[in-house]
Amino acid sequence: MKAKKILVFMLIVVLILITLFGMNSVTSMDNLAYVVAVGFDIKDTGKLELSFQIALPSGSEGGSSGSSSSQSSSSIVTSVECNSFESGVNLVNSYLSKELNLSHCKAVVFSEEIASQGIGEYLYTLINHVEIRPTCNVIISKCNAKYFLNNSSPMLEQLSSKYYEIASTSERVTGYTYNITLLDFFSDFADSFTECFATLGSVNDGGISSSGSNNNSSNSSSNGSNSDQSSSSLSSEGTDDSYVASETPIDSQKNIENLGLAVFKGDKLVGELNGVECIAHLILTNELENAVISVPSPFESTNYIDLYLTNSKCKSKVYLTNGTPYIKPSIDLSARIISMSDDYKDLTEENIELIEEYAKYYVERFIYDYLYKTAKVFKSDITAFGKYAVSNFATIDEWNKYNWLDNYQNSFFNVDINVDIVSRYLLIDT
Amino acid sequence: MKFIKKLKEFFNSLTQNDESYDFSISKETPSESQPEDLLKNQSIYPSLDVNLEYIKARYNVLINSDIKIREFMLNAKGKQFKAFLLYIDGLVDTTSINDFILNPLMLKNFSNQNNDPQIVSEAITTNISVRKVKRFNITDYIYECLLPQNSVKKISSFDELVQNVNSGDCALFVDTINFAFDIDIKKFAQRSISEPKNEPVVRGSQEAFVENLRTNTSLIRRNINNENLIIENITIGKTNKNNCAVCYIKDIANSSLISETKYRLNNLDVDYVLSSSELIQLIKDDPETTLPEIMTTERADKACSYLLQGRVIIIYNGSPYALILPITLFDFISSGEDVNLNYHFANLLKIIRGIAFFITLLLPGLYLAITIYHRELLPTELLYSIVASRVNVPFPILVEILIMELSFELIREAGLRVPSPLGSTVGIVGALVLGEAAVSASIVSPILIIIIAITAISSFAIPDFSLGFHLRIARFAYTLLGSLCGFLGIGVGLFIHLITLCSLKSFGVPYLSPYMPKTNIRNNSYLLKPVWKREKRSDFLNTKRTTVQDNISMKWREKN
Amino acid sequence: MNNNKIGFVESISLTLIVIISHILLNLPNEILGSTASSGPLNVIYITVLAVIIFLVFNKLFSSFQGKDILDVAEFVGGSILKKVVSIIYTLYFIFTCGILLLNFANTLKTIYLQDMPTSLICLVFILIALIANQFGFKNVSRTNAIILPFIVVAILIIFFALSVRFVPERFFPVLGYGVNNTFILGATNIFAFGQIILLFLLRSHHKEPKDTKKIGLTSIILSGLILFISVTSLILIFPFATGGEGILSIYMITRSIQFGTFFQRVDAFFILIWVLTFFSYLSVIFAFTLKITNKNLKTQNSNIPAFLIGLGVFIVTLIPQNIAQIRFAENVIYKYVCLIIVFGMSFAILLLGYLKKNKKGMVTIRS
Repeated sequence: MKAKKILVFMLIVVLILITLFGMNSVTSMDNLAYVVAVGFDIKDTGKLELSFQIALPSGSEGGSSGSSSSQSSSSIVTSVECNSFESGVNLVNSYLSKELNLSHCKAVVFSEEIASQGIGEYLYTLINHVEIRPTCNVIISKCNAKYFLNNSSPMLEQLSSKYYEIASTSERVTGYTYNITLLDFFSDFADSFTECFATLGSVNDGGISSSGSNNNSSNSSSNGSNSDQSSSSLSSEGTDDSYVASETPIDSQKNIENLGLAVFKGDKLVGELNGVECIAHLILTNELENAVISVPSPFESTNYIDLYLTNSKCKSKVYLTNGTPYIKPSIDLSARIISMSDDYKDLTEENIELIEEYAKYYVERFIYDYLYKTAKVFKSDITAFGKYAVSNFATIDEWNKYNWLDNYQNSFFNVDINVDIVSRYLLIDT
Repeated sequence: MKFIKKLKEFFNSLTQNDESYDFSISKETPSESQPEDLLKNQSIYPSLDVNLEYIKARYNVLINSDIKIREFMLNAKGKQFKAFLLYIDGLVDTTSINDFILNPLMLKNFSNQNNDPQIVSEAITTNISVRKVKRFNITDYIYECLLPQNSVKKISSFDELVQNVNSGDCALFVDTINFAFDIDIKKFAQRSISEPKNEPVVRGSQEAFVENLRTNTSLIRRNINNENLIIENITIGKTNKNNCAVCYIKDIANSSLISETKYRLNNLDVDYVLSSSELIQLIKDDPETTLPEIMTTERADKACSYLLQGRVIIIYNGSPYALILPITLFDFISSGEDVNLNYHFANLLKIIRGIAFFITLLLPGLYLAITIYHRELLPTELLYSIVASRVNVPFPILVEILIMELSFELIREAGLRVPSPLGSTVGIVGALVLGEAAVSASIVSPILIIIIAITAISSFAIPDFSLGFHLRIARFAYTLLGSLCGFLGIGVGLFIHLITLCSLKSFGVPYLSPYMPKTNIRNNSYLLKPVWKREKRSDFLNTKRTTVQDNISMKWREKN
Repeated sequence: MNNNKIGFVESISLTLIVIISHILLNLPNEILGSTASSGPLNVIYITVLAVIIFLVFNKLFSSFQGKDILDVAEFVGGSILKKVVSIIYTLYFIFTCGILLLNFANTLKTIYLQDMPTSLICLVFILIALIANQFGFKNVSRTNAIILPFIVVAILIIFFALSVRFVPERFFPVLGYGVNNTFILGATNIFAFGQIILLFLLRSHHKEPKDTKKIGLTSIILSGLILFISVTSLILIFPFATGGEGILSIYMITRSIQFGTFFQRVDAFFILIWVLTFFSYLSVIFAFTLKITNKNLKTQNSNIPAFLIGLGVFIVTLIPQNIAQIRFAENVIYKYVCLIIVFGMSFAILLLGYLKKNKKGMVTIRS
């Protein structure tokens, strides 16, 4: 009994000692500045420019805790030029009154420039950082990351942190982009059967050319892809899903927009995918929840039929013939006609079959475009066909020797698509 | 000269006046060997006068106001004997003494007059009647014919007699007889059986124990209609000899449990025990722990249900709380209401109470640990609102919590102690301090008020008062540990708490039974089974009869 | 304490806690490092191996009903061998739990106690284990049996919460680094089951000697299952290329658990559970070491040995200078010491004891 009391006493002493030693590492939650998003830019000098979007919890401005209105400035952005991430954090700490805390960081934004130079080193820093969560989103910004953060003033939200959380799930509705977390990005990066890709974002100012954004190069690349598409018989030039971020003709105040995907090879950005290509990507990776596509009408060449895609299923098989991958995805889609310019009465069985045929052809087109673009233009297997290939190998050594990621560009594709149209009109007879 | 003398006197008187009235209790020689002690262990003398002197000395009749000695002449069969009655005013029924003791003993009615021998049996053959005649014996005669009372005992030891007289009996001494008649004519003012005040239930019996031992045992006896219900009396205390009753059902309760209970009660070397709560502290297994190891209840039906489970009930005279033992932790979280409800509702309540148990124990500690060390655990929006609410608060969170906890405990204590007309005032002041005012004065943050309020509400959901105390103490420990080193500290607390719980025993039953050590929990788990499925008694009680009901208790469902 | 017999559940949890605490640090990593994508296959394989070895040991034990391995050692080589064996076991326990503790303390330090000295954190754990042992072996094992379900549930939660992120194709290539690495070199991974040594020390404590076999098999199979689950969740989450790198692999995967937008970043709760795991683990190991020394010294007052053991563990935690040394100690030294002591020495003692006993039996039958 006596020994127990002595031990308990010693324990209390040690606990108190621990607290005394650790006192300076424990900062009260009031003394912390919570970072919502981090931006990575590269300066002309080759130096890293870090931007931090810091939340200002309501009530801290002034003293009127009651006023919840005018939350437009619920966050501030500070940026610093530095050599590495950690030194940047330290520099910011030295001039901010509060200490930066990254544990509630929701998004990591890389500018296109820095991404095309390679972001591997930052990636290792971020994934090993105790405070940054692997679940925060990775966004590749077409414009300057600082500019991106500065303009992330959400219209429908009061807190930008919530905005990042919710906005990233919008792909479930549109299918025009895909939400990539840091962990996804990193494991794609580290995996030997896939390349990494990230959400593509930008500031959409409704046509006014934005300062600090370097659209030119990206425009050219997307134009290139558009020209590819225009060469196909069914031009998707005029459809609403061929935009990448910042190109959507929205008439609204400046806001950030996530649309399309940024494609990497290794840790370097090699290109962009627009909305419809992203749909193709989602279909092939089985991630598509639902999406709306506009298929040219088979009845009138100037009209479009809007199809609501659901229930997409894709089974891919990869055969290796003489060391060349032969990739055979077979896709099953259910679609619902949600609008068409012609009268409902035309929906006879033959007509539906015709629409199905058109839709199938249309989907096949853009999937082939997508596959061509990834394999031949970007030479990057972001679809992760490699994971179907890997079962052909027994040991890691054989797999590593084969080097899938370099062999992907030699692939042959054979896409098999089946579209079922289920129509659900509200009005049966007019 | 005279003047100087007067001056001296004057100053003397001044100093004397300065000496204010000062009383201090002087030291007394220990009364170990007082002459009264010599009176102990004395049997009753045959001579009445000696007995009278003895009683007067023992009871300090000269200064004791309520000791009554009534001397009179006793009439029996025409003979007269000197006699006296001894009783304590206020404890006995005076009308009974007048009408049914003094009246038959003193008045000369007819049957008492003649000196005929008492006929035991008579057989009449032709002309000759053979009579068996009993010899006249004054003691038998008084016992059999002159005392029309139901409870009369012959006692020859003064100690026993005095104890009985103290508890309200009346003693009759008759000359030449070397024992006394002990007549039970207790009657004193007592509280009537009322509703349970501290353990109210919506459905179920509304009878609560009172202070009187006999009333309480009668409550139990009334509820359990079984001759195997044993109510044993054990006297506790040397100076103040008080009775306590050990109740158990002979063919259910474990016999070693019964003997251990009696062993502990019989081996208490104390002068006095005033209440059952004091008794608990004297017989509990681990006197150091803050956890209750014996349960108290004021509800007769609860005591009875535990009796029927095979546990032992101790009722202490003068205390309206019965003690239930052995007990496990899970019994403290269940309430008397549970068995009265449909088992679905009861289980819902039990789960809520289980949650309340953890909230009241851990919430402030967890809040501290999370806000100081593990901020990432909070959802971002919640974090922002906590930070925003704390902008104007000058204190660290630990101080904030301690302020609020302390003021809450103060309000609770004050609310208990003030006279009831003032109780509402305390409530209003408390609500102001704890609520609006503290927030608008920026002393605490509104979120913290919510934390403390939830903790307080949860602590009220714990049915047992003493367990609530334990949780209150432990909560402070967890608060400090959480602020010392976050989840590591909470972990330290939880581990030590757990191992203490594991090592505790209540009268030989491990405290965490039936879960650890794992016994058969099929029928006595924390969550209640339906009534018709409670087939077995708790395994850890090792009862003599293990089954409560058949596999199919609803025989009417079986079709013939 | 006279009544030191413990029940079925307690015995199983005593052995499980050891493997689980190894799993939390880097046992799965260690296995994945040598087998890569064939890790799950390897775990199944070594579980089967462990079961076989246990059955062989049990067979050898069959003639020593209700005795533990120290009694057998005494039977074989007298009290000298017993003393030697028990000193070796004591050192083994002190060494392993010292290294593990240091590793865990470093983990805690990395995660949230940045400025606090590791030695003080270690000291907290050692003191807790000493306090726990003041309550006696029985209560330690009971507490452990209470804590264990929470740990197992935590591991299952990790598994199921992450199952949405699983990429089943990461199982491929099935054979990992080849047949040789998976099955022949991979057999050394059986050190993961080093905790079966406790089963041999526990034998004299079982309520019913008949249960010994059942307890052994159940705990080995359960440990195998838990190991399999953790290895699987690791390999399906992380690309196998990085499988062997992260030190805090299980912690890393808990960081990516997310239910909707509200339940994010729940890893701190796992820290709470792991802290409890480690308290429990250390107390159990201390209890066993104390049991060995008490048996050896036949002392009544177990306080002095207990304090010495605590001191020993503390000294072990002070030795390594950096992470690399800890990892070396943990991966290499621990692995081979475990193989030699648990599977080599114990087996030799048992075999000798078995032969001696049978010889005696033969002699008695002849005479």
